[in-house]
Amino acid sequence: MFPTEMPEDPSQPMVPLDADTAERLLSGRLDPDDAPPGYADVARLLQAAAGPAEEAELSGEAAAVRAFDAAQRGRLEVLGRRGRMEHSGFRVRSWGRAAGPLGGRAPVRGRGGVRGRLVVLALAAAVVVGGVGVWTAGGGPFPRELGSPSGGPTAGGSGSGVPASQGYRPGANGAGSLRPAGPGLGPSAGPGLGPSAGAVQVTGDRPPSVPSAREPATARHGGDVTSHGGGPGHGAKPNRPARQPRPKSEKPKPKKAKEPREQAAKGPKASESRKSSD
Amino acid sequence: MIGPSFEAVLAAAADGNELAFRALWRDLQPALLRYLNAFAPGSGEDLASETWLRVVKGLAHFSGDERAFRAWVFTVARHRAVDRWRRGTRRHDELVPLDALAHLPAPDDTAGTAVDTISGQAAVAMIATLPPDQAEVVLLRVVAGLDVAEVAAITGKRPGNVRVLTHRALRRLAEQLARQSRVGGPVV
Repeated sequence: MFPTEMPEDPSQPMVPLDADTAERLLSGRLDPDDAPPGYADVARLLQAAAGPAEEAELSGEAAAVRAFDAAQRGRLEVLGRRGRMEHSGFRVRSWGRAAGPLGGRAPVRGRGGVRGRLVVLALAAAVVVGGVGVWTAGGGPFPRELGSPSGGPTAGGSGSGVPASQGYRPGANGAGSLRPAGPGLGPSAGPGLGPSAGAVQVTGDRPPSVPSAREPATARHGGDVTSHGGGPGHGAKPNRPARQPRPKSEKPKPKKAKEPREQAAKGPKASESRKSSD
Repeated sequence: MIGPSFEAVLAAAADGNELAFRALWRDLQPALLRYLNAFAPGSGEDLASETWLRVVKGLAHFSGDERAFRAWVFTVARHRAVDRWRRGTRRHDELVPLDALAHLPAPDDTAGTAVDTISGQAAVAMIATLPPDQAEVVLLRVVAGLDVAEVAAITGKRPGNVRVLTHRALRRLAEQLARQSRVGGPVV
């Protein structure tokens, strides 16, 4: 009697599987009757797991085909739409999920359009602000030599004694030149002058010392305002002579860029005392 | 397996041929469902649908033979299952679908205990009671029909590790079935 003809004894200890037998078992090529002791049922189980499809497993065929058709139509639609959008200069980010019974959704446009509009708006705002700055510095109603009639934050700005001949560059601080337009320019527009109030020193033709790149635009604007004497008390000395410009050969001190923060920490009074000591 | 005509079928499906897609779907869907139901009980149909959507989108860009196609489809399916698991829509310990368990014979059901009468879904449900990494490699090897290297590539394991896991899984299955047959009488 061959071992395969004997009924399998469940209490029989299992022999370790060699690699070849395990491979035949997994691929379904091992007949359960030829399996090592203890593995006949495993062979049957694995053959059942890899068995032919059952009816229930194929019940979703119609829905899958509908989804396939919808996906094909959606793909064609996306391709057509993408062509049109690319032709008009926009980039389309399509999710490409077709509407259908498999839970898809129609292709949607990404956020690129909104972001593009924001960039365009920001550019337009920058152009407008810069234009007003140029206009104010050059031919505005308050020529810089006259100063502001009110003597307020803006008075020092245009009347700080910086002669026009010293090469005032509106492009460098055009935003600060917006002050005559009114006090409503955000956090740095009022007498409080924002985060860098009284900190940025502008002398002659030098642009305002470069603020940190992380500073918001409003902070930089505030610095410019102050640089023209916008802080409390700055406007009280409209005729104070400006600091002489440095020779071009002189290299700026490396700590210059940090000055605004240090001075901001000291507050407007520190800036004031420094100016008076000048 | 579709066989030698696979390339033509795949190309036709990529061109939008409905019949070709049907052939691909009928060939792979049962295995896909069994595999996915083992890891996301009750969500197998949804995950399979998501998988097919992805496959349909990528059909035009796929190149390879039938084995590579199967490996790709199961890779997509695995990603869908992992995503679902990460989203936490299903509990971690729900490994065996209840409807599949309903097909399992009771311990005292001698006739039903016969493994040769077990259905494919019930067999997969029994494999799914293994530790997850063991169950996965066995299902990919047996149900998906992939070899060690392909399973290793899909699961991100080394081939040696896949072999070890497979051996442990087979041994564990043998022990479980022996225990079950002792309770319910001789299996065959």
